[in-house]
Formats: sequence, C-alpha cells, structure tokens
Amino acid sequence: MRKIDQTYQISKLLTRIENGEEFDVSELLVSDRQPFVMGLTGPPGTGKSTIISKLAKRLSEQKKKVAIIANDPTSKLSKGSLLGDRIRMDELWNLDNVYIRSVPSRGRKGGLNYFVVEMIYAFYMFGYSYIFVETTGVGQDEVEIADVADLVINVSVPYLGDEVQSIKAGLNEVTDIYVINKIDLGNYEIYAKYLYLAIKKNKWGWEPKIVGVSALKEKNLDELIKLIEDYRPFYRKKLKETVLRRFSFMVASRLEYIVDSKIEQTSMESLMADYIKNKSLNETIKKLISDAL
Amino acid sequence: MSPTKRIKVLIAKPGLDGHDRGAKVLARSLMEAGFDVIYTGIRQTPEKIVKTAIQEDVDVIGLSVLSGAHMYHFKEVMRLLKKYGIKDKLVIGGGIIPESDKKKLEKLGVAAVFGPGTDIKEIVDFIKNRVRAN
Repeated sequence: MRKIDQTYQISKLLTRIENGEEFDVSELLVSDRQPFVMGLTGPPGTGKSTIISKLAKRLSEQKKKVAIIANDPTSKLSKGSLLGDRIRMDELWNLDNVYIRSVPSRGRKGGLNYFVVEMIYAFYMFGYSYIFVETTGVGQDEVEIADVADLVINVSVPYLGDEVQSIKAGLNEVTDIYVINKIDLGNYEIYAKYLYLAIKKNKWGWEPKIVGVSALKEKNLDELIKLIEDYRPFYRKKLKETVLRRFSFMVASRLEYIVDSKIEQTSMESLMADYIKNKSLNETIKKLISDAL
Repeated sequence: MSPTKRIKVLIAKPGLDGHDRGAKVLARSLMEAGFDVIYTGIRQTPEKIVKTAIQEDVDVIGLSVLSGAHMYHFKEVMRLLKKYGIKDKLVIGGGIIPESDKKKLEKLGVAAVFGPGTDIKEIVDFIKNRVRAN
C-alpha cells in the first residue's frame, strides 16, 4: 500500500469518529501497549503549536511515528471553526512519519473535541505511538487534558500573573511540566519563582518541573526534551489509572454528545412548555434523555 | 453546540505571493457561514496543499493566487490529486485571474474561479450546493 493511501484511510476514519460514529477501542484500551500521549495546554498565543512542531520534528528524526491532534475553537454563533494550528507546524509537512489533524472543539469544555480519545487510539492502531494533543487556548479551569494525556505540559509566557495565580486550584494541580515560552522577550525568572509555589510532588513521586524556552529560536529545547525523558518512568507507574481516565473521558464525552445532539434537535419552546406544565426539571430531562437514547 | 457534520474547507496560498488579506477574509467568512476552515497561510507548495487536504480530509480546496502564477500552481494541484487518486475534493480558486485563463482552469477540473468583488454569499452557496451534491 502506498503511504498516501494509508494516510487517506486514517483520514477517513478520523472523519467518521469526529462525526460521532462509534469506534471500538475496547481491545486497545485493555492492551499492555499504550501510546505515549503528551497534552499541551495554556492560553492562546503562548506557543503550544510551535513547541509541538519542534518536539515532533526531533521525534521524527529518531524514526518515531508522531501524530498531532490540534484542537481549535468552534464558533458558538455559526458552529463553524477556523483551524490555524498547522501554520506553526510548517516544517513538518514533508515528514512521512508525522500526521497532523486539526480538530474543532465543538464548544466542548476543556478545549477538547468529544472524541479525542478515540482519535488517539485510531492513530495508535496505525502505529503512531507518540501523540500530541493540543487544547484550544485555555485558562485556569480546563483540567480535562489530564484525563486524556500521560504528560501535561502547561505552556505560558513571562509576566502572566503573581504567586496567587500559582496556588489556585485548576490546571496547576495537574501540570507535569511548566514551559515558560518566549523567554527571549522578557525576564522569566520572576515568573518561574511564582510558579515554584505551585510545585508539589504528586502521588507517583513526580515533582513538576519548570523550564524556560524560546521555541521559535530553539533555545533550551534540549532541556525540555530531557525533562520529558525524565518523566517517562512515572508515566508507566500511572498507566493503569491513565487508561481509566481516558475511558471516563470517553464515557462523559459520548453522553454529552448524545445530550447535545438531542438538545440541538429539540424545540426549546415545547420543552419549556413541558416544564411549565409538570413543574419538575428532572422530569423534563428524564423524558428528553430517554428519548435521546 | 452542534455536534453534526460540517463542510470542511482548506484555504491555502500557493507560491511566493504574500497578498493574504483576501484569503484571511474568506477563511473568517466561511467560518461565520458555519464551515470548518483549515487555514495554512502563505508560501505553500502544491505538494504541501494536497498532502494537507488528504490528512485533514477536507471537502473543498480553495486556492488564492494574486501573483499571476495561477496556471502553474493550479495545474500542479490538479495533477497531484490525480496522481494520488483523490477524487473527493472540490477545487476552487480566487485572486487576480484573467477571464481567458478561467476557462483553461475549468478545463483542468477547477470547479469555479472567484475574482475580486465576488459576494461571499455566492461562494458559500456554491460550496454548499456542490458539496451536498457529492
């Protein structure tokens, strides 16, 4: 089979998954062999796509098969999406062992499409064992990436708030590596000091690390790569839990997808009339859900 | 939010031409019309465009050229699609393209060419009609 034909085959499978068709991952889930999933998250414009591009290129040079699932936001108004992550990954286009797929978030919380886990396993089925998942640009509260990835890389830039931001709940509690990008543009050490307040050894014994880089100027990337390698033994320790988390993400997402589809097809006027009549939201919802299933 | 299937469009600028305002306006407008739009920006080669279209499984490839090099780039894109056996992509074009070349491009299999002043609604309707027909 020509390489391009296999690409075409994967591409069609991903489309079916994205459109809500069921994809059976049961055997892949229980297998001892699992993909290594790196989740990159952080505010818009911090450099997630650029960092992925650099890391993917290195992995590709080591003959690894690399897949990138790049989420971008969906418009609440039109339900269309503008997907622009590939622009930052221009250097990867001709690498035969790298596959980039842009994915609309469909407005799902966490900045991830409903079917990200199924997509991960679809890639893995085709031999892509290193997988990057990039969230849409997100802030403090979007911890869903930790349900999907083995390693959470939180990308920020210098001067993003003080130490109180670091001790808040949310993304900080699930970050494995903090990357402060664009260090060529400002003093990142003060910001790094604030971040240190968030550092706490997790239950697998990994202490989150902080590294300053400039992805565009390829500064300190070796340091980041070394941290990812240092992390590898810890990822194995928590693999069992990671698989369960992925499964829980799949379950919750499918449920949301079913409910969201149903709500979209339902007239709110008649649903509200139903609620006004029987005065119980639980009853109205029960009817809606049993109807959807 | 709608989880249903949407039409997927790739907007790309082949060649060295850097005039990307039109392509950006169109990318944004197609998003506002409810499409999923992959925007890959300037300085794309035909090979890169075709590979991207395959990886992303787009329904439509929209090429924007304002430099005069449209005949070469469009021809290459069409040739590569044929070489790889890809038949499920609608190819459309835009930019500064003389009337006399439009016919030649259509002969190559380019579905439509939209020049300056085109109403965006016209492009949206064209895509909707053609993609649904497929």
